[in-house]
Amino acid sequence: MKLLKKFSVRIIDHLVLITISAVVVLPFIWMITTSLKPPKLAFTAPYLIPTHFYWQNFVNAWQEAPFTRYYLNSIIVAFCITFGQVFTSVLAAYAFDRFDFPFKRTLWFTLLASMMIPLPLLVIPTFQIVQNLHWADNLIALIIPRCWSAFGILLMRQFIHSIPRDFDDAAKMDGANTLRVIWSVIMPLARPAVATLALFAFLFAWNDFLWPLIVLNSPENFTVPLGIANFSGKYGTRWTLLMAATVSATIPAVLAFLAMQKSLIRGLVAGGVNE
Amino acid sequence: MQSRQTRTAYLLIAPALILFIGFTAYPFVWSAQISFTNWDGLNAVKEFVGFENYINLFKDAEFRQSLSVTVIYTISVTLLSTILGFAIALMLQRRKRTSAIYRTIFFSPVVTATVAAAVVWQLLFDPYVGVIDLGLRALHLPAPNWLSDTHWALSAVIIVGIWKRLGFAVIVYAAGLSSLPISCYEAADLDGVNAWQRIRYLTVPLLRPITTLVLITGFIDAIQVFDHIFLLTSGGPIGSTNVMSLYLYNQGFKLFRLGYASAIGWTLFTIVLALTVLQWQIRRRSER
Repeated sequence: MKLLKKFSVRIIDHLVLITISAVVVLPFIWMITTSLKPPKLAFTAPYLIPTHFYWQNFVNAWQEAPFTRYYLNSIIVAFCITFGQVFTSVLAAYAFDRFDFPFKRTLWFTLLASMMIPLPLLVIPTFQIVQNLHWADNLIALIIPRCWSAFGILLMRQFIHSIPRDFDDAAKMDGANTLRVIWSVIMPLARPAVATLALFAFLFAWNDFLWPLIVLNSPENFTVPLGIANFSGKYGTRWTLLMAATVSATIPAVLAFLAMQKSLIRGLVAGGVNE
Repeated sequence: MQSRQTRTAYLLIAPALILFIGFTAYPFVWSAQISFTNWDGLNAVKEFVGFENYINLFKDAEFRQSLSVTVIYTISVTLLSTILGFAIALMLQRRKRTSAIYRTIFFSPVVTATVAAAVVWQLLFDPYVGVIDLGLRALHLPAPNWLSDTHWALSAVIIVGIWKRLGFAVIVYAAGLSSLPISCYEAADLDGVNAWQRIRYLTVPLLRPITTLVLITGFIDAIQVFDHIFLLTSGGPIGSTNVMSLYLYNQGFKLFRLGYASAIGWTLFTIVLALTVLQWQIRRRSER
């Protein structure tokens, strides 16, 4: 009797989980199958299985819009931001954890409090600043303002705090200066935290839409999200073409992120649960 | 020695600090100043208008609608995704062997560019060829014109919001559940409590800090929503999905009413600030 009950709980669990999973993956499946169908047969039964594969959609999509360019721009922006955030966060976090200096507590509190500022609020004056610097319609305007992160400093400080100071002291005895200590002692030990921060920075930069929408004008500077939004505005209901474009813009990135999800999840948990 | 330490520390902080001042602190303070002017961003002229923008905001029916749409969106997305995420995490805890696959599935929307996902949802919501209405019609249920019906558009963007947020709640709850002390559950088992009592009187109270976190970060995230609503409805039809970020964007970057848009931004900030203070209060009380 008990065995039967256990078995039925299991069946119900899986039924519920599979149903919700199906709803969650439906957009992905619908996107992929639509992208593979010939335009005329796109919305005829069988809906979920393309009867014959029509790769021409992809050829057309890539001819209509420079996706290679969008990818390249997104990759440049995301890599620079990732590198920048890791660089500034590790240095600042090390200073906050290992040194005492005037205004330390005030500064720390100010940096953390700034996480509450909604991005849409900052966008208006930041756009004026970027224009005054003559950075409008330039990828640099996407990169530089995003090269620091309060979350990054917080995450790195938590991690660096767990590295014993003896390690620093040993390196200093050998004549290493502070930068040397950070580079050869802290960085290798903090690799999990650095990986997490890097993934977060990359993901955020990759998805960002509002700021590029405001800053960029020329199609050759578009990032992937902006390129897709533009493409959708242009080819509103040519769904097979649009889905081929969307598949091109999302699937490689999603697969790459899912491959790295362990670090990502560790970061979510570190940033939240251990607080 | 002390002064050398100070110098080194400030040199290390400098890169982050300069960017913080230049692109966060300074614009933040400046936006407050802009919100007291009628600046259009094009002319150098900035006329000081005092609290006029803020007073106008609360007289503005469109803004009041935007505020209520934002509140409904934020509460619906956050509450529903949190409850659903908690329920899923509980089930995943029982299904250890397959939980990694499910977690990956629930997490995939989190890592998908929202704008790209919105394009797909546009197709799913299509009244003629969208799978949702095809399904509803097959079941002989009413199939609304989701994105252009004032009664349904907000629900449609809320569904996308939950889809995007769910994975986060699942992951954080799953991590929280796996860190709970087994001893409590063993004691409860000895006392012969049933599964429902165990969740109600053990799991839920033990996970309270995590619930606070998921809810507050959810509220702060959802209250700023922009991306998918911009693409799916651009705030329409008749303002029924016109959330505050979108209203701010249109006022600031379409109509060039920078003062007014900044006042909207500061209202948004005030709400986020209030929520964060609330979180501190709750945490402090639970720590006592």
